Amino acid sequence: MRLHWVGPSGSGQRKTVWWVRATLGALGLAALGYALFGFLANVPPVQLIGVVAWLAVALLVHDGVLVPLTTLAGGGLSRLTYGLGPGLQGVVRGALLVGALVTLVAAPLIRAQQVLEPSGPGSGANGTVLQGDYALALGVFWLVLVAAAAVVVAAVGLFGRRSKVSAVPKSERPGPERSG
Amino acid sequence: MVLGRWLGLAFTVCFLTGLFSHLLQDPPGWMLFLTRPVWLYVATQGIHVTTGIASIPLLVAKLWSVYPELLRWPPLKSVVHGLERASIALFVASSLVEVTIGLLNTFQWYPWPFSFRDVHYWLAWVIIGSLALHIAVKMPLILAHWSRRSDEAAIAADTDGGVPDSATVPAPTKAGRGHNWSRRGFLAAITAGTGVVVLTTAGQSFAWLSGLNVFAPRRMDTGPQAVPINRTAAQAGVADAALASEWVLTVSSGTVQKTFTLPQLAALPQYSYGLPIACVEGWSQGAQWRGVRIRDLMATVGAPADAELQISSMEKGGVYGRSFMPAAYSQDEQTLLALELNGKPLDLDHGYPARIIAPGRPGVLQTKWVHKVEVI
Repeated sequence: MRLHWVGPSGSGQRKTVWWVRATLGALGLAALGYALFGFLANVPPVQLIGVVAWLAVALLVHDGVLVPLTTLAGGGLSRLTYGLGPGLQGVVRGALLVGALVTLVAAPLIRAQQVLEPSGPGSGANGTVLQGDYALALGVFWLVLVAAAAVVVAAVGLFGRRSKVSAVPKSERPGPERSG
Repeated sequence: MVLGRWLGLAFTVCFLTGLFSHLLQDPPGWMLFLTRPVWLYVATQGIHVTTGIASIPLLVAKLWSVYPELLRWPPLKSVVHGLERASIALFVASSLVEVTIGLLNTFQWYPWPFSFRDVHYWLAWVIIGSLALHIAVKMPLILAHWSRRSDEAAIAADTDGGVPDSATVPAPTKAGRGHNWSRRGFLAAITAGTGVVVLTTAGQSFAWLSGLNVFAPRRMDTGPQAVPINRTAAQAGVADAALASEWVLTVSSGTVQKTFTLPQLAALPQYSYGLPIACVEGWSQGAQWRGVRIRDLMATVGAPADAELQISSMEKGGVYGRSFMPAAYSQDEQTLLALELNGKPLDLDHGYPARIIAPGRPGVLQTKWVHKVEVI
């Protein structure tokens, strides 16, 4: 993060890098300045307070609540699945992570359905938005995910035990890649 | 680093497609309007919303992988360091808010005390500026990462294709992870999660993925006449006026003015085109539209070919109340004052008795319940 303020120095490649960094930095600052001007010129002060509040809360909720909680959950998971070995632990963790990411995008749909209370015909409400059964879809998705992870864990566990018996060299054993 | 690259790409794509959409809706004098391909806006706005959804898992993963940086001690080393941290805080907060309000907007859910349109647009400038600044600041790290990668490739080539142990490449993000959680496993899970999220939502914008659409707020082929709706007649408060038997369309150019009843419009030459309607919220729908060419209609009042038009809806006020149509669209043979949709008269919610449909324009400009077309 050291940038020579005076100007480019050194070899040709270093000069190029200096110029690219300086240009990008200047463009970035210009865009930020433009944004500041845009906010002040187009968004009323009362709304600006709302924007600042949303930015602050987003940072606090994400950095102060979500990340610490997921880190704790990850630690707890490591203890719970300790007996599985690193490869299968990775499978369980990966499945949970995929499920969490999909839930992050799908859960707001379910919440929006509750909050916006789509009503019957004749109410004038738009019947073409938020009409899916998202709770059911998310439930099915989790079931499939858990079943798939369980099958992999069971299959590798079973296969692993058998191959120990038949003394197949460890390196030739298929299944999810060992990680570590 | 890998996540950052993908996220940076996603943000850049979102910025450019969003800017395009903004320029179409609020065009400066130099704006170039393209009417072909007719699915142009379907593509750009579908990509905008889908990439925005894809950036949610990427953003969460990137922030999680750099979280240890937040806790690094001492928190402030110098004024420059403080400024860098403040710029990162702004970057992170803006990105989180931007993707959140963008997603909720596609649900037509607005639980915030500010204008979505303005804030989403100006935050985009904050984010793209912060991204450029961030790359400028981190460039030595990025270059070091790349040269390490090429060293790695060179080693691999030297050792006859053998892949070197990934442990020899120290990832700066490793510190935050559990000891059993490999970098590769983490990236694979993020890739899978992003893939699932994209595949289960992109079907609201792209017909070839509509079979997988389970987590998008919109479905294709739903609604009256198998076309979704942005705003119903009841929401717009136009039902009575639109259904009134005394409805006439007023067409004017300067002092020349004509009125047409619905039967008179239907007696003019009718043309039928398959055109998509694509909403700023990302959903789109192909449909067959039939009606009068706008350029034929304007010829009846002797409007000049390069005239810009103002289209007025029976809906009063707001962004839907009226729209402006540059000559590029009004002169296009496929731009219609549509009276029929998919073989039937327009449904009330689709703009009965007459609505605009033009190729390659945002749905918000395809004005419904039209009652006046005038040269300005």
